[in-house]
Amino acid sequence: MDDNGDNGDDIGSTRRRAHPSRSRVDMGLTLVVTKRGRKTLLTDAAHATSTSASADINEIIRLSAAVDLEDKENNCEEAIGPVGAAGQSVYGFQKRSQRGRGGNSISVSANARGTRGRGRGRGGAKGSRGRGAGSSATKARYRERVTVEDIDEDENDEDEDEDDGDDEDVNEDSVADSQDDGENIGDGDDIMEVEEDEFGRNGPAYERYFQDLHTTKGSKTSNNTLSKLPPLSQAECRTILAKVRPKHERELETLEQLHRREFKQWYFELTCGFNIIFYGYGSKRRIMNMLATHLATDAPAVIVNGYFPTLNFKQTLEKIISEVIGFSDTTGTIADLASLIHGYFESDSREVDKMYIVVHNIDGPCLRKHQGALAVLADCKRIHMLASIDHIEAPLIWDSSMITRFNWAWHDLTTFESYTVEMSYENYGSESTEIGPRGVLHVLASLTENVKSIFRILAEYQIAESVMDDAASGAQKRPGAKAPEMPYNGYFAACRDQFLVSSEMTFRSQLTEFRDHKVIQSRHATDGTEFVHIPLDAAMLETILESMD
Amino acid sequence: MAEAYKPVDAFDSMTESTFILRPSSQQQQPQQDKPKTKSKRGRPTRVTAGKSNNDDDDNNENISANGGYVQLIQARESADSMQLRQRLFEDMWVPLEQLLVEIEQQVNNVGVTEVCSFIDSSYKRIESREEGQLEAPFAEIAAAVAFSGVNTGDHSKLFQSLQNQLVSRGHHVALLESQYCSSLPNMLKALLDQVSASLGVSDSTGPRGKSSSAVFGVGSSAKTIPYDMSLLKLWWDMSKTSKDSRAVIILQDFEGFAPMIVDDFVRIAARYCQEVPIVVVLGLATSYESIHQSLTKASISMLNVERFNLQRSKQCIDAVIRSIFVEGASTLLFGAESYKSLIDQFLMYNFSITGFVNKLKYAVMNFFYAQPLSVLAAMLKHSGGGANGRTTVVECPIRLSEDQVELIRMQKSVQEFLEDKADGPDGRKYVHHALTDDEFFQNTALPEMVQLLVSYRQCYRLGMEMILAVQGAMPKSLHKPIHMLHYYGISQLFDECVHWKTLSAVMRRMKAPEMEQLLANLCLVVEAAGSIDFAHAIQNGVDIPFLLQEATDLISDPEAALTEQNETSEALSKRIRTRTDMENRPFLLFDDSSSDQMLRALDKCSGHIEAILRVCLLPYQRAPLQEIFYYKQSLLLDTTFSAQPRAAVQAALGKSHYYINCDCCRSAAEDLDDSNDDDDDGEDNVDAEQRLMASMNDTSIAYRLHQECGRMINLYDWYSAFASVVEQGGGQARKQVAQSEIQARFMRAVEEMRFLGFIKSTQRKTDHVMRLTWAM
Repeated sequence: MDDNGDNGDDIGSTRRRAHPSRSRVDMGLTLVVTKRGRKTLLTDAAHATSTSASADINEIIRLSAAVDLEDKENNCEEAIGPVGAAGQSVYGFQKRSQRGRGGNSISVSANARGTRGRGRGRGGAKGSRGRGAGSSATKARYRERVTVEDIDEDENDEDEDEDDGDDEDVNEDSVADSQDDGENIGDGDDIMEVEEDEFGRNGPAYERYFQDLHTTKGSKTSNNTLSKLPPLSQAECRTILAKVRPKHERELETLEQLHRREFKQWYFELTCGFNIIFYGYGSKRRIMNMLATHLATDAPAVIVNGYFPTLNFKQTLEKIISEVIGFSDTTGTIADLASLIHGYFESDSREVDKMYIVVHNIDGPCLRKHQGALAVLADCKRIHMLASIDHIEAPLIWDSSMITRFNWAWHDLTTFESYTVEMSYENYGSESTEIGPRGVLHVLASLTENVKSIFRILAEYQIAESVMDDAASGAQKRPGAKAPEMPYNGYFAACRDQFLVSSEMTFRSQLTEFRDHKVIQSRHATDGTEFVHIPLDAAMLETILESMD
Repeated sequence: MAEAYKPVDAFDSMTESTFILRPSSQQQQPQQDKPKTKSKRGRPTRVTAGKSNNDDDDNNENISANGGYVQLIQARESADSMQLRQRLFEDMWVPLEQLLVEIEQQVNNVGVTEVCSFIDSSYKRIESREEGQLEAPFAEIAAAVAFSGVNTGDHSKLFQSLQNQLVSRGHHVALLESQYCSSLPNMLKALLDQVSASLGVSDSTGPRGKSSSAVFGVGSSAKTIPYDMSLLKLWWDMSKTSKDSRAVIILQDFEGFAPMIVDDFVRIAARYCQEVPIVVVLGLATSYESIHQSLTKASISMLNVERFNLQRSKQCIDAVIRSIFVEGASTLLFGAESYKSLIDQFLMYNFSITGFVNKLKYAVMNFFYAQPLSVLAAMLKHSGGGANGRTTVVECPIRLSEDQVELIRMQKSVQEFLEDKADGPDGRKYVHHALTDDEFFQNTALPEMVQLLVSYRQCYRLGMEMILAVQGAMPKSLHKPIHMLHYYGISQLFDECVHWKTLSAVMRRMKAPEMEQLLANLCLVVEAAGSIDFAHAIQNGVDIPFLLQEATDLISDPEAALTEQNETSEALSKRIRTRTDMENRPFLLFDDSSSDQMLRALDKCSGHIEAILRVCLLPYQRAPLQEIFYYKQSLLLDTTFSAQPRAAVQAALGKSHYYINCDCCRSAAEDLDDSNDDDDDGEDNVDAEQRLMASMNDTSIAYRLHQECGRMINLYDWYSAFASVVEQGGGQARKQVAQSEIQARFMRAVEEMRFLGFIKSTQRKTDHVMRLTWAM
């Protein structure tokens, strides 16, 4: 035990590398101990008994327990005081690990030099999460220090200790028992417990509630995947669904009749200056188109398919200007065009008296950012707008002045019809977030050489990473493990180094294009850094790269 | 993907998102499409729908015929009556709207005038101190901060009137909205366009004044000009503007502008404000803080800010309610429920007058569109208009049909009216006539009822005015705004309403001079009201003028009046300062100045006033024909203006039978418990609702299944559950549902749920989706 020395350090580092999360936990815990105002005197490890090699959760638990007990024995009130609301958990702790106490009041704290200078809060936060990538503890050398409890320490010392904790992230190991070396490295349960207790000490007890709320993953779901089902292509899906007999035909027809009876009322409302918005479950497209054809006897009607994935609202406006109004000059921004149309229908010298605009899915992805322009159109007395929404939170896209402009009268148009057309652009099924290799090739075929190279960089990176991964972890790979990802910045740097992009803006726009086609996906890590990856495995990528050449 | 997809109809395409239907081309287009549709989808629904389409085409052929009005009472209503309704709507709404606009303008004018006079005097102060003072090394722009309240929807009207008034005072105004000022160049462009139009220096054609300049600003000539503030200076010098005119720049929605842009703009403007007298008006919806938060200190220091409050929507709503509901500018009044819904939307939501007016308009529309008896509104003729309008009863211009007369007779208030009549002389005969003879009913009984209604309204109005007068005599803390008073008036009886009680309690503590003053005021109110039909009051046994007169006499000469009224000696001798009186009037203990006689007179006076108010503020429920003329469809207003799309979708999926009302999904539930009597047994129904059945809509099944899940949903497990539900009904309906069909249907359902926003895909775990909604 005593002579672990340098060797121990080495072992410790490798261990730490394998379990970076644990070291974080340790840090968090120790810090808490210091924070609690325990009078710990850190002296150098003259009579160091232990090594960091056995940096084990259990040991730490035992250590703090020992400290607790010592405190309690020596000066009960003092010990209880600072513990406060978290006291419960602390004492619970003690009981549990009494067996490992070993009767002495010495604890050793190992100082991880690698993590020097980290703020306490950060260490604590990380520790509480119990995971997190990469640890600077790899380079850690441990300076053992013995903490000797001294009853007569006063407040000043406590403060000093706190500062100490701030400056150096302290790792703490216990030497109490020699059995530790052989012990299994802290399993999940232990970690959980430590987290909880640490949290409990840090703040008031109710915080634990929230901690539990967010750490417990809710009910566990099974690991079944759709791969158990036979693959079904979209075309097959469509042919099958076309044959499926719709349910409740008769009733739904009655429902539709009822809706259709309201056509005249809606017309009346439109003429009175209200714009109509339809909501409710079911595709409202067919019935609205029917209404539009009826309305078109009166004045030109424009039908805009807001669900259309590549809808270009500017083109829509241009089309209105050129085909309805008959102006040839259709330049300007969307706001300009919208106000041009608005102005035309407000002016007295117009030829077209009024116009209907029927917008299917005004909450559609391509219309979401053009609500302002739509509101300008709807604001005009001579432009009657009918729109439908399907997303349940759709009304949130309007602010109060827009709502005033739109002047909606809401009508429930529940049809129970399936959204065949609205969703014909989406992919059914499991591949909805991915496109197959064929799709990727298809997209790549239409791109320039430069952009292809941008794709290639990521693909090659992923291939290399996955090869590394395979070599490294082999059997350890869990099912559903994440595909290798590349940090956004690294990707950008790599592309810039090869002169593929000149600025981040162009890079971002290329990336957006890939993302739109679902070739590349991105993800924001918890700390805000962005990671990108191609949702295909290495073998697939290699085939793609080959066929690209 | 693209090659596999066939467009469903003419308005669906893989390449085109916008379709235009023209009136002329309409004839051929749908005709072409319809057969195509049928053949293409070949689904049973399509065919039936297509067929019914044709049936319906006759119905809907000219949707624009009669302005969308339809004949009510199962289409048995006469065309005359329908057209009358249409005409009445126009007759009523147009002046009403006009009135509303006027009221709003009037109320706003106060604040607007303040701002205007500030702008008039803005640079004069700076000019006037030229002598003997050092000129500041920097220039300050005169700026007005106008708080205009949170009702941003109304602001364009407010600022429009500000602009108009400024223009009429000879200033040059640019009204900027944040949506056109997304960048500094855009802002300058919008600004200069408007100013140039106002200065008349622009060489382009036509009068592009005011807001339309921004509108037509995309013209070709406008493009060539480099927009710069120096241009403004140039124009300003060129055109011979008078010394007093200012260049006013209004930022209507200051919060909407990007702070950087305004910041830069202020710096630029400050550079020019010595040559061009620029005044900036910042419209604020929130608080003064927002200026400090968005602008830098440097630019704030360049503004010489004066604050104004343009927030007047509460005054406005009071004025509106007074003139429309109390003074009766509107034929249609609101029942307590719907009035509450109307006013609540205003008070608790956004203070938006526009929203209020829209709701009101919709109610009026609904009244004339859907109420076959709204033709009776023709019998009320407003003359004079506005506050002093008189309502007279005229004959109904059309003969009411049998159905309509029958409908009127069916109203409860009409029945009550006839019952009252039956007690009078010749009552039975009258009632008999009214019930059997349509002619007599329309010519005699109906005008009488309408007259009574008019009388009730006049009395109500008088009562409201009197309450206001009474309130005027009270301490400020007891004052309530008129929209509250009106709500009390229509919803509660006089004796039940807390506020009325408070008022009368305070009234009973009044001393002689105060009471005298109050009575004088009340007399003035009655006089101002002019000729009023007191039939309603007399019917309830109260003669308002007489009572008022008596009270006045009493207070002026209590001794004489009391003896004159030969009160019984017993009443006279009874001491007024009894124990119970002490409880009501503790102050009497300390007040010896007034004699017993005077106290008695005061007591009587307040009694009289209460009696008058009691009858005047009778809720409308007693007035004949109230069912027709008091609007009660508050639910309709709520669903039309505060719709709950999410709840509707959830109801459609979770409780489909509310929409579909089918037998198939219910039968099994009824088998389960035979005694289930529709809505008797709530719990059983809940159970039945929760049973999943194969006959339900696919998405509905998926939705109900997903409700049982946690935050993460495993698609495969979801699918298994779905399949088991779908297959369970397979026995009776179909032989065996193919696995691939179930899969396809499931995928469609999931995709629909995603489309509707109930779930979203996630990458946390393979083949999982995340649940997004949690409400029931």
